[in-house]
Amino acid sequence: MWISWALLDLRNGAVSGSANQAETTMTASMVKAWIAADYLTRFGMSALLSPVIRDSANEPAWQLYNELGREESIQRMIDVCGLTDSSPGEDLSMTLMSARDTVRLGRAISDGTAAGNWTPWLLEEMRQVRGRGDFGIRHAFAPAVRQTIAIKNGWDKRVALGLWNVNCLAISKSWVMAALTRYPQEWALSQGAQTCEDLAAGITFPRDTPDEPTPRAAP
Amino acid sequence: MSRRTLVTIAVCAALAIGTGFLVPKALASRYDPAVWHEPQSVAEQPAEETPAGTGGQAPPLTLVSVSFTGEFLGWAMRDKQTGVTIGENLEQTSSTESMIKTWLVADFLRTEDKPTSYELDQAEEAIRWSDDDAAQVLYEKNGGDASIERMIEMCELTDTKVYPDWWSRTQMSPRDAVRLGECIANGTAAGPQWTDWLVNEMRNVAGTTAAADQEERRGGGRWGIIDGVPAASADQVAIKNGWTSIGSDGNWHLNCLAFTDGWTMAVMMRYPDELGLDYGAQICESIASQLLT
Repeated sequence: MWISWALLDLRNGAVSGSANQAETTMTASMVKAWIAADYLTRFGMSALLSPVIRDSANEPAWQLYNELGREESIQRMIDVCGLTDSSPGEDLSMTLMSARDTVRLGRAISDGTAAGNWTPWLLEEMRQVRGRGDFGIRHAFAPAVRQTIAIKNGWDKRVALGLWNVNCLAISKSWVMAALTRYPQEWALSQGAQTCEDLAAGITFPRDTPDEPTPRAAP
Repeated sequence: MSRRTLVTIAVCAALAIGTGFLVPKALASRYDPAVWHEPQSVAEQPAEETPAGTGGQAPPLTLVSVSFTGEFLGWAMRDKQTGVTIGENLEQTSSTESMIKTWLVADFLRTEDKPTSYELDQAEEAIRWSDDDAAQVLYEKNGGDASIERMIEMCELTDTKVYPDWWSRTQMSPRDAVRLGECIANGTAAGPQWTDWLVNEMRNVAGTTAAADQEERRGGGRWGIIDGVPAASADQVAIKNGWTSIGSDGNWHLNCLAFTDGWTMAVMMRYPDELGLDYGAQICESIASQLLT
């Protein structure tokens, strides 16, 4: 299994992570967090946005991606968020991002650079992620804390390549974490989801106050 | 909880008599007086099609009984010999999911003079493996919502509503799904050049409900009505199912569409996610089996 991760401390901007945190992989649906931010700042609210975030719905995401100019939207993400490793892909889910670029995207969402006045709305939608896409990093936390963490995960089995892309982005008040995985398609989705969770469980997260998120004990 | 109500469907239908290969059982039955649960569905039945053989006797009766847990189950079947449509909740709508890929492919092929081999591959994937990406490509080439509007007009659908920019959420009733099936079978949808090709694709839908056959944006779709048809006849049945477990309401939205030269049938339902894909597939199979065998 290929694993890459990064953690950004929002208090001081420090990034830590795996040695391969600059290596890129296909984002799958994780990049929909940017699509929503880009759409909100350019066109405002749409009924398509909430299901794209909460349920990771594909058809509305494809529609929004088209309206945003496809690769042009990814280029705006690179420019606006100050990404150094990322590039557009053949389609939305094949956008290439690194772990460190993913936490930079998370920072831009967190501090309002990406979504402007829509930032509180977008973060709340990301907290409301449900169903199959609710896995990974925030599940390393107790339920009361878990619901304060905004996430957008991506998961896609690529038959042509014979592999899973399973990626996790999580944004808390004081940190952003990215965990990216690739592994054989014969394995289960839960392998990648559990890897995101395990990585989070093993990390010491920045803390501002006693209320700040603390993961459950590491496995 | 309303969506967990147990719905037992008992439909008693008066029908013309049919004979021969794969004639719906309902049409060959002769029992006691019928009660129509959906009076509007008989509006299509011209008076002169009253079965001559019944004379002054009571019309025949058939019974479909399904134990179903969920918030919606509707079905419709039209006999092509008599033009009679029977069903239950057949005017109520639900999201089509992948069932509408039949139209997306038909609309594309009818209007495209010379589809490329890549485009034909996309069309084949959209039907045989219910490939979402392929369907999206065709939907966009068809002009998005305009394609769904064309379907409503060309196939003379009465209950169907466009869901903007989101083909799988098109709201369709079982009787409209039957009309869509007929619209494909009679050549209106795909045109004279491509109807046989499309129907052949629908006869060759592949894959099962097994997890190994279900991927994120494509999956096995050979199940449901086709499993309720006598096995020897299955290769004459054209099908396209739709199935999505939708996070926003915690339900499977599952639909089955099938037709042969003799009949067209649609079953549409919504039921709790935890019941799984096989649950809905078996409802489709059960209804088809009761009507046909």
